[in-house]
Amino acid sequence: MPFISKDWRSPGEVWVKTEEGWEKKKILECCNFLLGQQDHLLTRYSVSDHSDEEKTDQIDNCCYIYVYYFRNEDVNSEEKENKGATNHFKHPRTKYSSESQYDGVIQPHCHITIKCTKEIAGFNGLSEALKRLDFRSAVHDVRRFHYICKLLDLLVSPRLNALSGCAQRVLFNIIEEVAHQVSQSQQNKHMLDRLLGQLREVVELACWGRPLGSTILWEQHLTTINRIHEIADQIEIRQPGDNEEPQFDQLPEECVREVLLRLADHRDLERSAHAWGVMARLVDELRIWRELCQFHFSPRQIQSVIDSSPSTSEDWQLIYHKLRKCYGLREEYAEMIQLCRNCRCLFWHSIGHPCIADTDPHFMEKLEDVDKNSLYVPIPPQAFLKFFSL
Amino acid sequence: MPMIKLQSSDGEVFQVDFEIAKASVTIKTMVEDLGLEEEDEEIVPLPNVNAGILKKVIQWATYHKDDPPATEDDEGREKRTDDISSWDADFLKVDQGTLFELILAANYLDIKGLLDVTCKTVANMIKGKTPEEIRKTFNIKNDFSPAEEEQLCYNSILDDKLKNTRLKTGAAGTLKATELNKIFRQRPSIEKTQPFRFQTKETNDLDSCLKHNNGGGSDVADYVLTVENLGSITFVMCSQLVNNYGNSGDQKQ
Repeated sequence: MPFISKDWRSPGEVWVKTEEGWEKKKILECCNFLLGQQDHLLTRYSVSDHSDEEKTDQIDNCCYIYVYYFRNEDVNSEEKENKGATNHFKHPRTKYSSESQYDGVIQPHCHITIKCTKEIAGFNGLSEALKRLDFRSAVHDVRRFHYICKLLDLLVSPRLNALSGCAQRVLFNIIEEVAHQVSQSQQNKHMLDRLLGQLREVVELACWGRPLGSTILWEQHLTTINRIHEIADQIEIRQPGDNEEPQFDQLPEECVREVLLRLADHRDLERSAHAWGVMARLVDELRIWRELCQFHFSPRQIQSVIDSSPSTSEDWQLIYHKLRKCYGLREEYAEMIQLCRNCRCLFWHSIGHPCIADTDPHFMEKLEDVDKNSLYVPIPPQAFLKFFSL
Repeated sequence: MPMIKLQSSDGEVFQVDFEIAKASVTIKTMVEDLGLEEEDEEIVPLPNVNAGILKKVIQWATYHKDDPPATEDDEGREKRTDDISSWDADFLKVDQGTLFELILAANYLDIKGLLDVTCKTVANMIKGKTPEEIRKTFNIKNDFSPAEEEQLCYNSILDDKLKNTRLKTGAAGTLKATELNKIFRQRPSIEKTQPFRFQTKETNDLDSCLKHNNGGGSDVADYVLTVENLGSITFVMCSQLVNNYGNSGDQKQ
């Protein structure tokens, strides 16, 4: 007697036709969340809407994009504003046309199966998670940018071949979004270059069976990659006007030092030293290297290196390089994906998620004597991929 | 609520809640030292800050008035340059001139939070850029003489990577970092060409790339940079670099 589960008898997934093709309704229920004012995004989308019909097709579910303002995790109580975003799009979602209904919008979140066994390996889909967690708009948030870049970095180089065609498409879409963000902010170009370099390698190595499956899909991928390259090639650093006062070189040394103290990578320090005599002098100061050491390494690690070669105890630059080779650098992200242990749900920390604990008073009671801090587990990029057996 | 009057450099007076103005250590000490009372009509002059910037600073301080003071276990926070709240990020979407004026004001008024977030914004502009790009971003004139510049470029990279390493250069035997340095330094001053965009881990590719770019002094420099950036340099590659470079140089002469 075969086991017939309830799912088997259910009508199955509800599918919605979007501009990018058919998509499961449950994936679309998480709206694109944009933190803060993302005017450039709106301009970009709206411009493309007016001038180039075709470009709007690139916008993932453009009819679902709304702009929200909120400062805390508590979404409901914070002021929200539509900002007229819907007017820019071809198909504004009429369902949320009145202000009061915005409260019903669900934050990006994604339920996952934590312990992945062979039987349920297919339950966690990467493309679905990337969409549900709204990575594409998250790219434009400075706090989440690095996390996403690291994840893309991990996905592109060794793992691209293992991804499904759908996941690859989502991945390329996110990279394109990264390219837009980099070109707009003129920051972190090295990360884009790195991603593109790896992408180029994959494309060159392409042969049937590995990244190549469906020819049509691969052609689509290639167009996307070319488009990304075009964006990247057009990035040019804007120079500030001569009449903008004060200029960077008019800042007193103490202010330039403050800036340098915030760089966490020795290569950035070295490059700034090569750029300008004043910075070169400041980078030679012990304090910058000492604080760099203290940021990346524990006092015990530092002490052990100093003990091993007492002659270098004053040369913090040397100590830093020694430590770097021994222990590696600290990797930190302003914001990480979090896992809620109550409902096994991945979500962005700043946005929060609809938790069963909030809706179920009975469950709330049970949680009362639990340490609230242990409920949410930050998920580093490597751990994130583990959920998808990558 | 006790209020305090602040006067900007161009004479405009702002009336601010003392709780907000207290974000500035400078103002706080000034008021405490002077023993200003609530009823006083005394005006605190701020000769280093103009009205436009003071307005922005007050706007920032008003938004952040309820921020918890920085805690001890938050160490390292100041180096996390992407840790900028979305409000601050929007607040600092201004031209460079205003950004630098805010830095100056935050420095003068001693507002730690504002100085932190503005400096992080500038640090983000530096991150991952080549020296040439940094100069361009901030409109800085190159104040190094060509000789100095070459010294700088090669020294740090080579010192870091090659110190205490003897390079195998095929038939020529071994080569010390200093000698490699010398080869590079013989080049005429660096021409500013396009930033070199080549990334590979394959020695063969390196080889063909070098041939392709033969003769361009800056390419070799950037080349070393790129390899260094990859973090996966092997000294075989490096020796190849020296070999090829040395040869091409000879041929030219």
